[in-house]
Amino acid sequence: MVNVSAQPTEKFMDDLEAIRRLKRGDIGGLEILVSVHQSKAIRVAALIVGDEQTAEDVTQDTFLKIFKHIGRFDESRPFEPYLMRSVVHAARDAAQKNSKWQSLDVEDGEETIERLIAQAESVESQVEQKQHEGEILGAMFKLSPRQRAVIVQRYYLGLSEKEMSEEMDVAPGTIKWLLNAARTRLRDLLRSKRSVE
Amino acid sequence: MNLQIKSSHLLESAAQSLAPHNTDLLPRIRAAYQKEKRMKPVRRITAAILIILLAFTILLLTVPDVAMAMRRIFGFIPGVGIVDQSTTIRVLAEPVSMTRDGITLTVEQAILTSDKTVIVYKTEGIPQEARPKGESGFTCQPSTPTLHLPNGTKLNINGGSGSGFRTGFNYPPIPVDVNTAKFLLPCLEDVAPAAAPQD
Repeated sequence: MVNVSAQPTEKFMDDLEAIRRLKRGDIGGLEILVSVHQSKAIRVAALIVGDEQTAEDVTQDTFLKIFKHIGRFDESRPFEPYLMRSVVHAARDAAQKNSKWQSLDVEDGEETIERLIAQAESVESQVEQKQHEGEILGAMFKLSPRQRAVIVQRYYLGLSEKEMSEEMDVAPGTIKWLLNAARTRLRDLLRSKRSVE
Repeated sequence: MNLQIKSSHLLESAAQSLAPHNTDLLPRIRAAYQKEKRMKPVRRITAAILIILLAFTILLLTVPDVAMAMRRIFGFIPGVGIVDQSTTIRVLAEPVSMTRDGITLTVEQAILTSDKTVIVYKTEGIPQEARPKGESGFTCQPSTPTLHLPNGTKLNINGGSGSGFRTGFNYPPIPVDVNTAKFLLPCLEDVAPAAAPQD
């Protein structure tokens, strides 16, 4: 899971206070929210769009959109998941504008991303591990933006399939299908790369 | 270490290699936010206007003389094309407009035949600030309007074209016993990213 410096409740209260300040027109609230959440938001966007500049633009736009409508923000809900969901959606849309990908046929998801990651963990040398990580990253960017988005939500943000299904307002089966397709595609890409080598 | 943690560590490492500079977005965001706040209230609301819901009534029995005459003589109606002269045709008796924050949406024509529905509308008063900056600017999506019938049926476009500020869309036919419909325009075309819809 991504490192969080403060306890969840403490963080929630800090965010809440910042949101209330912003709602009162105090720009200090904006400064707190950006300072606390921007790094993670940029990294989430980068994993989907693939480059830092676009990730920063997407993150900036997302913050601005949220701040513009901060008056409507439901204070009973935590800010960070809302922000990350918005970043994922915006990054996916940005990536789709320039993406060249094909739909996938799902055959089986027996070999999963977890196994690929376990392989990366098991290699002895740091150089080999970096190389393996690079392979996985390269393969990830051959997935469709939508598939990358579900991989990031599931494996980086740690959302459950149920949470993803609720957030994206799609059937649980659709999430399962997307994840399965992404895993299968990753496996095939890594296999083909190794066979070339 | 469980697999979820391994996964997030691996992706964390990948994310850091993709975005290594730890850029502070705060100055940019603060400047853009303050600029937005300084805009005149009307313009600010205008930039945010995205959803225009316009209800209009299709008059079943009132058929304007001109359209009727053209149809009788040529079997052709401007904006629709050749129509089946043996069936009933319904049209909007007069244009219907709605103005919000200086932006006006007008449904100029609604023509209902047995095989299609044609809606012609135009928008006026979109300020330059609401337009995307540069060719690469995003515009709100989706921008295609839908028709909603009283029984909950939603009709999506199946054709159409536009030029300038006037656009015409074709929809499936509306049943003859339906006399009202709502025209939902999710967002305005060519509106800047800051004005993307939230709802």
